[in-house]
Amino acid sequence: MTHSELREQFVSIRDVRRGLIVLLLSMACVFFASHTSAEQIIINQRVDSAPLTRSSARAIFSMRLTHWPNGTLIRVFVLDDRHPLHRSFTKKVLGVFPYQLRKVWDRRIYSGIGQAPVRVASIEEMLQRVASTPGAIGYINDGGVTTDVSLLSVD
Amino acid sequence: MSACSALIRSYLLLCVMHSVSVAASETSSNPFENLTIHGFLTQAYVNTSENNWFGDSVDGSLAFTELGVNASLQLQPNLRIAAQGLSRRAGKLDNGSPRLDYGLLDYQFINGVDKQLGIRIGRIKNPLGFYNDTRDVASTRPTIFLPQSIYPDRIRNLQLSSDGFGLYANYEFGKNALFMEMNIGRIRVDEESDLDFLGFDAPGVLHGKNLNIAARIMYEYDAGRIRLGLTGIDFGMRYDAAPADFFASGRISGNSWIVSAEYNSEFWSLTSEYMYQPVEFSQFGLPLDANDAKNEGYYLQGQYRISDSWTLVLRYDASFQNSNDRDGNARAAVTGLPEQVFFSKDTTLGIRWDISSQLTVRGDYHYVDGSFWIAARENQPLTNTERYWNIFSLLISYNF
Repeated sequence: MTHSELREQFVSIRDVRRGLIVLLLSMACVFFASHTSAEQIIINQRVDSAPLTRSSARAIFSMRLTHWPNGTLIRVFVLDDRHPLHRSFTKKVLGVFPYQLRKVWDRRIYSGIGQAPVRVASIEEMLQRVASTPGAIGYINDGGVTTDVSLLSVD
Repeated sequence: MSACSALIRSYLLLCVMHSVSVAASETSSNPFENLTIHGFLTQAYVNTSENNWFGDSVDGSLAFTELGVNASLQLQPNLRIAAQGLSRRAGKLDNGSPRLDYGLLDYQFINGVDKQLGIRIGRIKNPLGFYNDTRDVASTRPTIFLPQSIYPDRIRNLQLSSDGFGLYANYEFGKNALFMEMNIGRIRVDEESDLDFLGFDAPGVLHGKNLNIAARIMYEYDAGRIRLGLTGIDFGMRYDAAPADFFASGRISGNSWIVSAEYNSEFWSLTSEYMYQPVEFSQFGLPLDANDAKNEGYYLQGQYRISDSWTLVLRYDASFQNSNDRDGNARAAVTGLPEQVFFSKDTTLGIRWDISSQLTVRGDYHYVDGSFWIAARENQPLTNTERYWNIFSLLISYNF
């Protein structure tokens, strides 16, 4: 093997190593990015609630549980069924598909057995309504502005 | 209106007035802050090759319109009032006159994370199978028309709601949930039901019995991935003969059993329901007393969600007037009517386009063998009904 061939091989190994590092870094970035854009439940600052379990979060967003432990009425705010954040929130946090929640809400509204959440037009409106409505609960992207609302974690 | 429903109405009104005044005195804030209002508007077009379905459909019919508005007001954390007004045009079966679809007070004794227990008083939708309680809301139906085996439109009022009270209880444990409902009250029989139940326009009057029971238990696994239900209904009607009548005053009594099963994944749902409904005629004299039937029906339905906007549905739906005479031979021999009047086998292909989460357009095609579930009111005489026919229909619907 000539000297130049050796060099070429060394370069190609270096390229592979560099490629691997880039790959690992980008995977870390993707992981980190997906982590920072996770869904976060927000509540009105006057609501006093312990962290929710997944089943209590489901009970709230499917409108079966209607008041907080202190008796305040729960006011649920959601985005449009097709909003990307609504879809990821229902799937990842609640563990249900958006069309299933829609069925549950429609049954409540149109057969008279309950109420459905209030739909807001944007994440900004979500923040504003949750901040200003007693007993309110909603969700935002993690890392969003949360000065006027409290965060609530789901175990 | 009977004394019973008048009593229920005045009681409801009293309760509402009391609750509103209590709510107003206890909280200084606006009592209507917790008011929600929703509604729907649907228009359909129906075209059939033979037999009339929702109007003079052989020539193309627009006589299918649904309009509803409802309001729900949370008076206190455990007390809510709700009502829905409905106007429905459905060929010769419904003329669009507005009526109270439901109107109720809902009081919860227990409202916890994993259990709820409550009572509803007033006009309550009957919990029957998967679809009955929202059957007039197009966006909640899998197709333009519900599977007629379980939800026959020609006798929908009989299934629809009860004037009385209902108890409900929900219980969750781990990934499992149980939803139980039981209604006790008077079923609604409209003035023209006699044609559908007795087979002709009788001079007397048909009334719903005062104490009918409708109960459903639904089991759900993993927030509805699997849903299994059992519905039981006990119903009765009384016929008051006119002074000069062909028949004596008689009774119709029956019960329905419905088994429901559904599997839901992200992109598809598989749904099936089976109904068995024995009905007895008594004290009318012959030939009506010989009309006892063992109605049977089932369907198997697959839905595929291609995207947020497009859904396909395919269903096979079968209904029989008598489970022991599925080809109608025996009944045809007794009544002189053609065999196809006693069964229907319907294959439906549907497509749904959700333009937005509120606006929907859909189209369905049915190939039907049999004329069991078409309405006698729209197809006289029944001897002229065709056995093989098809339905094409389009629908546009808006929800808010």
